[in-house]
Amino acid sequence: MIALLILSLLLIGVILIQQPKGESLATAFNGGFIHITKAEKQLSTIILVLFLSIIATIFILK
Amino acid sequence: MNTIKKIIQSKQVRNRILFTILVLFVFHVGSLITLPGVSAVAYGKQTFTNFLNITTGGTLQSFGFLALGVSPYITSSILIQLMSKGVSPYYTELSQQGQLGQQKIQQHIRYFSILFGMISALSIMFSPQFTSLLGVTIEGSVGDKFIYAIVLTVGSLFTLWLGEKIDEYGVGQGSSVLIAYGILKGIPEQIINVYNQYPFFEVIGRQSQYFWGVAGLVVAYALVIFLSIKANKKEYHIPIQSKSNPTVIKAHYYPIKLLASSVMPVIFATSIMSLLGLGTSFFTSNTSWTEYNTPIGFVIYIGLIFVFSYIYNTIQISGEEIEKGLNESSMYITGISNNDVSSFITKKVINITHKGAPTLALIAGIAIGVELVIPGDMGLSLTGVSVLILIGVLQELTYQINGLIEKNKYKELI
Repeated sequence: MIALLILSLLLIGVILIQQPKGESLATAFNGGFIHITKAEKQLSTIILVLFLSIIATIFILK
Repeated sequence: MNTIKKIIQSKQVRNRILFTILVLFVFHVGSLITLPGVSAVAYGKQTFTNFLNITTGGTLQSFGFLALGVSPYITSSILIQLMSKGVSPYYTELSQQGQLGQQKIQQHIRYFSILFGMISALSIMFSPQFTSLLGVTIEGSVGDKFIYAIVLTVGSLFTLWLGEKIDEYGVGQGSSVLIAYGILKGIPEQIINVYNQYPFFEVIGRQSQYFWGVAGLVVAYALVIFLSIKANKKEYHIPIQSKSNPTVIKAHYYPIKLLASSVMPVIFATSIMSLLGLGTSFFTSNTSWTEYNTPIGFVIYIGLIFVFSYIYNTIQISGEEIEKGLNESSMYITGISNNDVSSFITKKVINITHKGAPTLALIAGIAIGVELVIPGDMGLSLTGVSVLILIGVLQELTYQINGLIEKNKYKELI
């Protein structure tokens, strides 16, 4: 349970660190002109890994 | 067929669609994995639970890790949107600061989402009334339940993040796409529900009533779909002219949609009904007047849609802001002095709402009305609002995909 709590808090932290793009619809219509930095890519990867870890922990706890 | 061919040919559009499907897959998987100690028994069919299930993106019914879905995000977005329309000077100023201001607003929406997510999750975990309404049983100590509440809040934040990724790299507006997906995936279950009612009508010897009921529902939904498509497209044009070039150009106009605030008045009306239902359930078991599928509840529900249509439309379309914008861009409304723009727009919005509010009430009410006159329970929770949301999202997706295809065509020419 503690592991689940720690992973959840980490996920909140990492999602909040990743800045939202702002005018979401405008960027969606912006076609191929979205600039993705290396840091953003890394944060997205961390978020997905944490998500999978939470799911794995839930399965273990069951 | 031609559009599908163009989508396959365009790498960018194809990748965006595939990305959206991938995100929906992650969302689906996350919504199926239930927390330890939590089991979904039978999901309730009250106004409150139906509404929550729509706003979460259909995740609440299965009560998985992403059970809260986009619901906290919607609540916080509505709150900040209202605050940035003059209610709070801070947010009003932020909303006028372009991309940077929008980024700050988005970040604040996230903070509020965490707050609302935590409130909802704690209510679910510690309120027996709530769990019985949702049809779930939760086992565990107080500490465990507190951790589950945090996990559910994280799930809603992760859903919000998924929505943002669709905004950035996929097609459509992220949270709307997730909600539409929730509605869409519930349709087969709704059809099965109606089918499963047949044995009940057979036992009581009222097969013909069943068939008339099903026919009535099919006609009602066809009408809702037709009205939703028409109403979503309908807009009124207020002609505007340049001060430097007084020639009337047809393309210069200020558009006001028939459903200026889309489904927002229905969402407000349903929220109020839901909250009344939840609040009343703590004191009495008779909450039928807060259910829109009872005659009294239905009348209250339609009345609330009217009230919120007028309130939200006049807040949403600010005459003062339009007046300011026209002055800054040296434009004016044909035949109207720039000092009278604000009152002119307000009158226009009210006049349009005279038509928009009944249309919205009709869309929201038709299917419920038909269910009210059909004897027996068809077990439907797919309301006119769901159909309206679904059609709105599908239309938006079509516009965006066509826009991207056209854009690529120009790129090829360059």
